[in-house]
Amino acid sequence: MSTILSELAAGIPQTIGITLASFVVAAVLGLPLAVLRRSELWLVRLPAVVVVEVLRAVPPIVWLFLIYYSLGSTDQVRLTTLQAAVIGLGLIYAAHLSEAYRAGLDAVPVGQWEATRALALPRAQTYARVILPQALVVVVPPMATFAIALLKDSAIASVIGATDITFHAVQLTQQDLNGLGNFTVAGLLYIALGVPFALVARAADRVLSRRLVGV
Amino acid sequence: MTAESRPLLALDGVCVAYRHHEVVHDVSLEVASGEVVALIGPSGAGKSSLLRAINFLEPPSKGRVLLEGAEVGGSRRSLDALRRDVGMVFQSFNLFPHLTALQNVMLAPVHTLGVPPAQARERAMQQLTHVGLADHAHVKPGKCSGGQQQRIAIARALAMEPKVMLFDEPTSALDPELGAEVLATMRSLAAEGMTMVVVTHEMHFAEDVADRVVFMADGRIVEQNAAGKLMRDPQHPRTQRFLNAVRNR
Amino acid sequence: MSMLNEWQDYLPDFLDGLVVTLQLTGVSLLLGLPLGLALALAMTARRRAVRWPAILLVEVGRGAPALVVLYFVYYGLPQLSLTWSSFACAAIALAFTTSAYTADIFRAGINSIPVGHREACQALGLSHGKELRLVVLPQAIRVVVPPLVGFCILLYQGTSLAFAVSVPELLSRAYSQASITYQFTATLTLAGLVYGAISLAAVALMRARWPRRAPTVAGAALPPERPDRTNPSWETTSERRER
Repeated sequence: MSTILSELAAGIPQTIGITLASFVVAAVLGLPLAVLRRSELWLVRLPAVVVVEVLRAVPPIVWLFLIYYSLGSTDQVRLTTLQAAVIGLGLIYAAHLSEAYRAGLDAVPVGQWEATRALALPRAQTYARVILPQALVVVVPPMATFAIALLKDSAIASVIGATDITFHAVQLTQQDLNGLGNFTVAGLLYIALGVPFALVARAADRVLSRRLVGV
Repeated sequence: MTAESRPLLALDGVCVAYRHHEVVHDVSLEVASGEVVALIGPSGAGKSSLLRAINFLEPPSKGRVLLEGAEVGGSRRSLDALRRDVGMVFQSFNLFPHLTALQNVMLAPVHTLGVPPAQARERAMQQLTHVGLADHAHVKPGKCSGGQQQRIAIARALAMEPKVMLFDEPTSALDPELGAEVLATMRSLAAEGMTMVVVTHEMHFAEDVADRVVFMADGRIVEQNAAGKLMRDPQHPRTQRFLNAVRNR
Repeated sequence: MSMLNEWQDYLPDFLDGLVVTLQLTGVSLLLGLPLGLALALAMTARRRAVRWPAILLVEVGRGAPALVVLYFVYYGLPQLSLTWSSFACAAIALAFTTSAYTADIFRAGINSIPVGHREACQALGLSHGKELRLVVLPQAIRVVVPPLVGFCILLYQGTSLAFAVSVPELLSRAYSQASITYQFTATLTLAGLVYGAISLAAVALMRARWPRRAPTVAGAALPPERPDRTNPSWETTSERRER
């Protein structure tokens, strides 16, 4: 068991790297998507809706293939497996996160927006001081769930050749034919790597809700 | 009307519509500086919609709003200028739950008016003292009673040093006992000469505190008069019916 | 235009692939849903010896990547001297993943029944089986169907993982066509369109059917919403047990 673990551990940096990098891409790109989707102008809303729906309607592995073999294999653009994985997963999860952000923004009561308008608070301050702190409380738990889902989906990157945990497990198995052992350890490794996300989320949830309810 | 008593606030033919459904029809109203006007009437009469039209939370579908004789335009800048001068107190307080009472009161002076934080803090403390809640400055709204929350909301609006205060059924969400402390705060505000427009179901408050009472039904002003007169001697049958119904409850 | 012409050539092969994809989806559901319901009932059972193994299975099934589960079955079965087709391996693996995800959906449905209903059953002297069959499940079904449909769409997309163990489904056909013709853009785009069109159509149908609480595709993967804790009569069975 420990020998398997030491073999698979070689893939941990890639797995964590792909997960974190994709999550940052998703967290950043998701916000404008969410704000655009809430626009009152359908001309603004429609492109955002189309992007979100299409990103989610096609399987992640197909996106990775398209990005790696098609977009990223031209004479002008050469993407590494790592870059292709981060772009693909980042975009897909930007769509997922934008929905979580949207739910968070929707969860802030209308009265809060009205109070900021009645006080003539500038738009940037309205978001920064009033809306986002309240939306964050609603957004953090689903964000953590998506981070864990992203960690699991990062295994798909092994199919285009990223040398992550799953990739190493496949290679090891082709040598020693111990699929049961190797993939049990791989599965447990993913579950273990997800634990910190859950803990961070729980702690953040506690801190944020306390800030919301009172001293 | 002499030049000095030019109305502070004037509504001219204001209509309010939600998706083509008009709820306020062609209302004109003038409020003099220092005057306290109570808007009463059955629910659905359009009182709140009219009040919200004054600071463009519901932009009027027709008509004009004039503050000190200047018409308020639809541009963001014009609206911000109006809202700096018009304070609003909501039925459901709408305090910012993640900020302390003091932070709630300080927020707009700092970020809307650009008052230096130290000075804003001092002024905010004065306003909280004014509504009797200096000791709750560092408490978040969730830990305060409804009456205290509404008084913090009043302090928040006062901190902008508005020329007019709008109250949208400020006591409807409160138990009578807690409502009383809010009414007491509003009473002292009126005594200090604040110009106020109050949508209310509190008939005693309308009669005792308001200078003028405006009775609305079905989106129109049915009757208005000096407070004592309208409450004791309503002319219009619709007003009589309403006041009888309310008093016999 | 050239891409359209190419697509014409690919289409028959792709449609064969789509049939395999749909078969894989169907078989996985057929095996996975009953297992999911059984796991859910086991997770809400009173006896710890029943509850804990079920919880463990569900946590593993949801915690490990589906691809890893797929490899586990594909590379692991031969060790047990079982030589099954790659389709069978993929179906078993996806069925297990399905059961884990749907178990959580079913459990949320069962837990959404107000505890008062179950108490009423006990007061009426209904047996545990009848309580489930007559009162709990009929109500739970209504809560459970929208997220289940959402999961089906997720599973349909997830069958593309079977590419990794060479099941001749849609993505595999696209990839093998591409490796012959080197037309990666044309083949993969067509595959994406086929996956996307069916997913989007299903999502649209779902939204039309349940406009209010239309579950998003991702929603199926999210934990169920917390029940309203302010209303004690809606306290759920699991919360009551915690006390």
